[in-house]
Amino acid sequence: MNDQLKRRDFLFYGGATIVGITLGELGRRQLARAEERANAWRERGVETWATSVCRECPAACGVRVRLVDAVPVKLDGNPLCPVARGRLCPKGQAALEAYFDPDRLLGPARRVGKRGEGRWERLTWPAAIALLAPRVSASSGPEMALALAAEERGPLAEAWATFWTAAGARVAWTPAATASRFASRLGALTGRRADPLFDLEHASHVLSFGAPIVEDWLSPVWSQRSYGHFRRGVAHARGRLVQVDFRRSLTARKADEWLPVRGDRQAALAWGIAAALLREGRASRSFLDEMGGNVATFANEVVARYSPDDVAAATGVPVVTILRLARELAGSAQPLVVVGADADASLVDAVFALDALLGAFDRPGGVLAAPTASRADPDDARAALHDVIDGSLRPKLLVFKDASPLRTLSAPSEPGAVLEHVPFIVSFSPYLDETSLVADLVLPAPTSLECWHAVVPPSAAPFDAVALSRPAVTARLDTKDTLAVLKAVADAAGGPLAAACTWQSSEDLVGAETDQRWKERRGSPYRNRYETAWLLQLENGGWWTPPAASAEEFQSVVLDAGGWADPFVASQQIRDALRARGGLTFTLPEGLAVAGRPGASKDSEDGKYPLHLVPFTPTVVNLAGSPNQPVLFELLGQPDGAPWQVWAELAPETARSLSIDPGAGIRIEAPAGSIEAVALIAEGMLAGTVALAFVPSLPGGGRWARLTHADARRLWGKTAFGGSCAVRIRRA
Amino acid sequence: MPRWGLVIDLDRCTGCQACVVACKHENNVPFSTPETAAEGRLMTWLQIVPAEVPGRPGPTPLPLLCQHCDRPPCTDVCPTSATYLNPEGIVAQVYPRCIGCRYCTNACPYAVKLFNWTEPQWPQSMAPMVNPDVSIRPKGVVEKCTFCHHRLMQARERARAEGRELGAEDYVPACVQTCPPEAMIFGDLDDPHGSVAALAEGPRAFRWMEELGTKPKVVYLREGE
Amino acid sequence: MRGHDAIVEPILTVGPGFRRWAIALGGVVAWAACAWIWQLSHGLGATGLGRPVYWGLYITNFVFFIGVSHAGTLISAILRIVHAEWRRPVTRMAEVITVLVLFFGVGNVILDLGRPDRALNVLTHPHFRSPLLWDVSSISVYLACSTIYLFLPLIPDIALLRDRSSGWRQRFYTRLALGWTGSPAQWHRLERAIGVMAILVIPVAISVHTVVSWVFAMTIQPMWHSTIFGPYFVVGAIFSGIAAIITAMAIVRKVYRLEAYLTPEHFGNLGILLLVMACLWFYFTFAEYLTTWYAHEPREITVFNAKFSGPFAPFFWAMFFFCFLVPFPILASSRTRTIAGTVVASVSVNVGMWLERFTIVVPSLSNPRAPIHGFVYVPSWVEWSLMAGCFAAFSLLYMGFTKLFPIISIWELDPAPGEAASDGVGAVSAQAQP
Ligand SMILES: Nc1nc2c(c(=O)[nH]1)N[C@H]1C(S)=C(S)[C@@H](COP(=O)(O)OP(=O)(O)OC[C@H]3O[C@@H](n4cnc5c(=O)[nH]c(N)nc54)[C@H](O)[C@@H]3O)O[C@H]1N2
Ligand SMILES: Nc1nc2c(c(=O)[nH]1)N[C@H]1C(S)=C(S)[C@@H](COP(=O)(O)OP(=O)(O)OC[C@H]3O[C@@H](n4cnc5c(=O)[nH]c(N)nc54)[C@H](O)[C@@H]3O)O[C@H]1N2
Ligand code: SF4
Ligand code: SF4
Ligand code: SF4
Ligand code: SF4
Ligand code: SF4
Ligand SMILES: [Mo]
Repeated sequence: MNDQLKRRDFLFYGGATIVGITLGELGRRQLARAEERANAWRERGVETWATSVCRECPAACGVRVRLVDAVPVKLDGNPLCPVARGRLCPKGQAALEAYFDPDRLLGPARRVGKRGEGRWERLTWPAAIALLAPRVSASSGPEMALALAAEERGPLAEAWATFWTAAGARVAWTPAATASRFASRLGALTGRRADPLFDLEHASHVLSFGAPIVEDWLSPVWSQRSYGHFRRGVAHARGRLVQVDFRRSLTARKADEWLPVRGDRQAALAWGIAAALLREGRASRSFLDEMGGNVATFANEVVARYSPDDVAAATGVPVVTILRLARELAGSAQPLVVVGADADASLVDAVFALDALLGAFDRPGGVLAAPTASRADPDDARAALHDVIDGSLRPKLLVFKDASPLRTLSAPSEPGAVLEHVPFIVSFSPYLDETSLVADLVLPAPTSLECWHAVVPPSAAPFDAVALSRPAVTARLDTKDTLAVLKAVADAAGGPLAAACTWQSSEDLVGAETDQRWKERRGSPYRNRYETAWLLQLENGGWWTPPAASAEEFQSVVLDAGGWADPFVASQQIRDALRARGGLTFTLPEGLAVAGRPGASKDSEDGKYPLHLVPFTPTVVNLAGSPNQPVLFELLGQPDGAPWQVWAELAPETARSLSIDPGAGIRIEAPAGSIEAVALIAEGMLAGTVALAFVPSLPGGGRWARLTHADARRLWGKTAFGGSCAVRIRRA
Repeated sequence: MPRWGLVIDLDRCTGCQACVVACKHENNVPFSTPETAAEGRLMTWLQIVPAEVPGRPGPTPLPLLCQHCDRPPCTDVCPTSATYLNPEGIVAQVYPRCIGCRYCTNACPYAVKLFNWTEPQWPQSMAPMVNPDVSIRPKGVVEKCTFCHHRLMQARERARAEGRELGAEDYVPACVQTCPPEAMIFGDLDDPHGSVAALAEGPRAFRWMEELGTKPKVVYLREGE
Repeated sequence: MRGHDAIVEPILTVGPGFRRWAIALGGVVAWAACAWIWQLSHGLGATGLGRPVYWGLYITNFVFFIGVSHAGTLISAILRIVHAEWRRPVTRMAEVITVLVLFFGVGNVILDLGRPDRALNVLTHPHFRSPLLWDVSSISVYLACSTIYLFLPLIPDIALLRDRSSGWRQRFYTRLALGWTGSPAQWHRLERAIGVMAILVIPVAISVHTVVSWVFAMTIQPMWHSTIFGPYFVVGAIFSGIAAIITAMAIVRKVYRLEAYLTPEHFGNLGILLLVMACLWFYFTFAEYLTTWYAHEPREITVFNAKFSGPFAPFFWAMFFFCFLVPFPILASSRTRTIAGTVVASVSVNVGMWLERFTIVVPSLSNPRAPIHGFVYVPSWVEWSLMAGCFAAFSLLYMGFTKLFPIISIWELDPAPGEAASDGVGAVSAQAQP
């Protein structure tokens, strides 16, 4: 071995080693750099908290926003809020994604291409207002404007109504029909026209007709909190829940007993149970003796018309079960009968009648009346929009705020087609939702974290309450407070319109609201449970200690707390009304129609479309709120299905007869269209019935909302979506 | 030394998934897409699964998260001790040490450990939304529920700054905080006066798959009487 | 020694056929390297893996390659110890398989790591309760032992080549021959060393595959948590190892025209060994699956059904077909235990044993206890590319070995008269020196 060779070898091996190490090191650095990048956020720092109000649904839960260097990073419930008590539902948690949504509208814009084409021109706010103002003043009289907004109570919604009324417009609300049905039916029975409050928390036995108690019932966080206490309250035994539902909903699964009954037969079951209570003399004697009203006539009618055998034949629920349900109700200490907001008037009547027979009005674990009156006979946006679509109403100007009723009224592919003949459409939505997509002018409002709030939470705890708060964060994009926009339009238009607008912006109205509450000298800022109980004691004794030294200070503590509430509300409103009116006025039920299958169409009869499909709204899907939150789409279909998947629930028999395996892809076909979904087999589901998750897609909208390809609306084609539908199913 | 544990009352739990969203936002867990979800790459430290549990005829929605086993099969098999049982009973992950062998994910009978298949990503507008208290995991390492350990550290700091002992209400994980029906109760299993210890001993308590000897510190309460 | 030109000849010449193959295989390896770079930059998202199927092709290959590694060292050591004279032309090509394939076994684990850059954490932060660490230990010991065990008998042959070559080869062989002159003292030391290594290597080899099986068996996952996994894996390993030797033997024989050295007798003898292993493999498989089925433990039976009649049934039954139904009849009859017959059986066993590893790794993971929604694992192009790259790189290295060293141990072919009386490991051969 000579030296020369050694050197050469050394160079070779040394070189190879260096190359190897360098390559390895480069790779390591590449990965290390990725890590550094991932850790870059650590430099941020100052933590603050702000209060806000969740507007992902009408419940108006209080929100506490955690900010780091003024950027919101997490939402939690406001512990002082009497509705939510520090808790939030999945949509409330996900509202942060609505604020950061990458597909939010950047600012005011005007359509340039054809309607729905998606070509826009950015405007300045003055230019946008200059565009709107002449249209507002020009459209009164028969060429009126139609202003649609999400139903809401409180000074901000009132201001919206004031403006448009002064402008000669027709003002309609979504979903006025559902919201007012409860109040009007309660009014008919008792004389007290108010939203009912179901005291689920203190009930000992609950019979629910389709009320999605553990899903999205009325005020979801309140409903779920109540359910928790109902099941495992500290002071009472475990409550028992019987669910009547056409599908195996989460509530049906959590219930102690689930009775699968089609939606259109549930009223018959409710009347049948009422008849059984009366026939066996199990109705609450003490309550009826005092408040009976026309109960005797009612009893005769209902007993005659709803014999157990007929009801059993109509509903498929055996006679013994009907009798047992009645006896269980009557045998429980604080029974309560509840119903979903979707129910038709007959079912709502039957449910309130049952509550009356059980003496449930104004007692713990029963039905109370909400302290704040709801809007009297609100104009229904869906109905108004129907008239526009069929041409019987021809407004010159159509305005949408906080509402997207087109979502449930048109085919997903062409939301604009139905509004072709409306000359000018304005959307105040911060998102590119159905209405923004077809609008001529978009005037994006700030999202809920960015705006002022003054809203009365509907149907929750028996409190007189207003959720009040300031913007929790600075506006991310070029948005403008809708009421400030209206004020500017009014100033431009002048005349009575300008006079009607007493505000500059929402901020003024929030301030006015707190001043008003200060003057009323009652209630307090939102407080925790114990302080609230203490306050109630004081107010019961006729005491009220001012929570602040001055109106200004009061305003600031109320806004910090996230709202104002007065726990002292008259607790006997329904009974008082009954006494004043001389007792109950039962609506006599229609006769029991057993002939024919309601809802059965020609298509289903000739056997081409043998299955009966009913859509339902999955809990995590927003009907109200932002349409574009990824985490909610991800939760879709869980726990049973697959993430991001739209699913249909089938009875085991149905699935077997079509040889469909659980989790298999299926194609659902209706005369008007077809969609694909994932099949879930629901044990106990009614044979021949299919429940389909309704997940609206937004082909032109945000990036996540675009991803849903199984939109139930296709099954209805161009006709308005809703109700049930005859379909057939095959494997995809 | 406390021994942290979580009680989940299935009689109260509605399967609403609020806890799932809260955990994702609190812990910077990235979103999926339909494609990544179909590939089995959905990231979630907490998830509601349909489980067969005592006292129910059919599957019932069950919040599934790391059970923080007292005898964790996952930590035994880790070749680098990147996952270990800390003295307070929290099964921890050391992201910078993990080599991504995914042995622990396979050893965990609850399938709650997740692997970062790709670099986590958020749309640009959402980047500021991340919680600065929780590190973002790089691609190639394993992660899972930490019992919101960062909240414990903050609570400790706060308590120390205020010169007092750590109280039961100081340390509340994000999922527990949001649960609408108040189905989750968190606390020290060794505190004889705490509600968690009492509930965990109660007649309705069971530990999922405890027959495997994992000794979970997540305790479920059966539905029914 | 001149008589063994047929062995020495192909080492020193490189023909066009060799070049063509080398280029083709090199192309595959280059492609795999690109795939690896792709995987490094995109993360393991480039694979088809997901939750709960966290392990797939790479770990299957890992177990397979470690199994095949039993070919050489273990078999040659056993045969040496039992004085099986016919082994002489076979041992070298078997031992090479072991050493090379071990690198690919370990390499597949590295491919499988989410953070290969941190692989050394296993040494800097070791956790000795982890079976993976036992694996690291036993595989490194096995690699060291097998390399030594391959190298020792090579020394006299290297010296022979040193004396016959010139240029860089001469320098290379000089370095590796460690100054071998063939003195009786050197022969004696060599024999002693080989003897010690042959004995040492057997428990190490057995431990390696036992520990590999424990990676699975130490968990509580259904159909992994099995007490017989140790011996079951060892048997499978020897089974696939012998099959690999026969396959390699057939190829080398054909390519280098070594018909004179590798006779039907060699194939027949190894065929009988393979037959024995096939029966043992069947016995273990039967025992494993029967106990699972009979006990009907719900979680276990779910995995069992997935393999027996569920989505993994094609793999399971293909495994059974290739591991038993094909080789058994061929090898059982002396009429079919020809060269062609044993080669068919061996290739079949290799395919079958790969499938066996796959049906152990994937079905258990696909059926976790927790009811999370799963997905169907389909390996991605990256995984297939890297697998092809491993096989190509192995073949390339094997070919390279044949161009550097005699694939048949030359000095062992002609035992000296006194050899049988010695410790039986090797023999002093005057002819070993030119
Ligand atoms: N996640 C989520 N929660 C929400 C909302 C949301 O958009 N998303 N919206 C909030 C709003 S605005 C409201 S008004 C409330 C809605 O109040 P809910 O009471 O929750 O009403 P829905 O969920 O619309 O419908 C109740 C159930 O009635 C059943 N049903 C359908 N048709 C019939 C029928 O003819 N008869 C009977 N008996 N039952 C029938 C369906 O199964 C449906 O699940 O929910 C609020 N909560
Ligand atoms: N099929 C079917 N149809 C239904 C119902 C049903 O259960 N099934 N339920 C009915 C009921 S109860 C209701 S309440 C209605 C709900 O229906 P709507 O009240 O019309 O609510 P959405 O359709 O969700 O539209 C709300 C829109 O407001 C916009 N938005 C979100 N956040 C903000 C914000 O901060 N500011 C402004 N200005 N806009 C915002 C979003 O773009 C969103 O598209 O639907 C009714 N229609
Ligand atoms: S219930 Fe409605 S208001 Fe309350 S958190 Fe959920 S979405 Fe928000
Ligand atoms: S938030 Fe509470 S009720 Fe909802 S799924 Fe989680 S544990 Fe259950
Ligand atoms: S649940 Fe799984 S990950 Fe959590 S400690 Fe137990 S074994 Fe480990
Ligand atoms: S993936 Fe990480 S934490 Fe899990 S076993 Fe491997 S090194 Fe340990
Ligand atoms: S304790 Fe924290 S990390 Fe664990 S599941 Fe709950 S929120 Fe997620
Ligand atoms: Mo509503």
